[in-house]
Amino acid sequence: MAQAGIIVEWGATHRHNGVIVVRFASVAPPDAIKCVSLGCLWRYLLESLRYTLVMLYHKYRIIYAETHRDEDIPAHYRMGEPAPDSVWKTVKEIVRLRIRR
Amino acid sequence: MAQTQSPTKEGYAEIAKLVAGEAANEVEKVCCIKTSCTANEDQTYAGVTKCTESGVSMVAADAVVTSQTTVANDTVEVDHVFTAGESITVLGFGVFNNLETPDVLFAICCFAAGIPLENTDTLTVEMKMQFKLGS
Repeated sequence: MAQAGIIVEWGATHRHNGVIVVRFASVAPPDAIKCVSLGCLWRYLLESLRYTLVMLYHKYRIIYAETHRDEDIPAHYRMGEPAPDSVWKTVKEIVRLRIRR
Repeated sequence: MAQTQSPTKEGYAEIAKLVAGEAANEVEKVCCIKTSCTANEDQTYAGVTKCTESGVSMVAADAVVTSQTTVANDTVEVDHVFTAGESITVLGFGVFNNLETPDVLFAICCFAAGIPLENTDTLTVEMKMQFKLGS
């Protein structure tokens, strides 16, 4: 991770009347590419795609949780965990969140 | 709007001055950010729109301590609980230096979406800055 020797991580939790509305966490960007083979480039592209999708997932999850702050919604949308662990699952969750809104 | 975080160039300079024993101020204050922000090294104290509303404005953090991420005491950890005194949407938060009116932004975090806080809502934040070999 290229961050000039200082790595920043963060977390935040929004509570309404003491109850968690939504929890955030930092998502680390993919490490800078360090080799020149095609396989290496392909892995980096996949990692970058996955990073972008995970960021989108968290964005829509947060909007969904805030919009439905007083309703009963799946806990993983409020807590952010477990997050989808593959590109395909992440895309499915994004579509699901966009449909539910 | 992406969820991003970054240390800043003016933070690097302040840290370098502290290590060299020159006039500088340590990490101390936190403040919520009011407008859409992008976390990158070029952000500055003057450049971000800080909240002035009750409960989310500039304040001394509840705790500023060192902790271990990889080796003992390699991380500066800032913890704080904001309690909104009125309805406001916050877009992120920053960590600042210890002056009556701070002038250095050490690190910034921008949320993926605005957080609409109502009166008495709390926002618990934690920022960790780990010092390690850069790449």
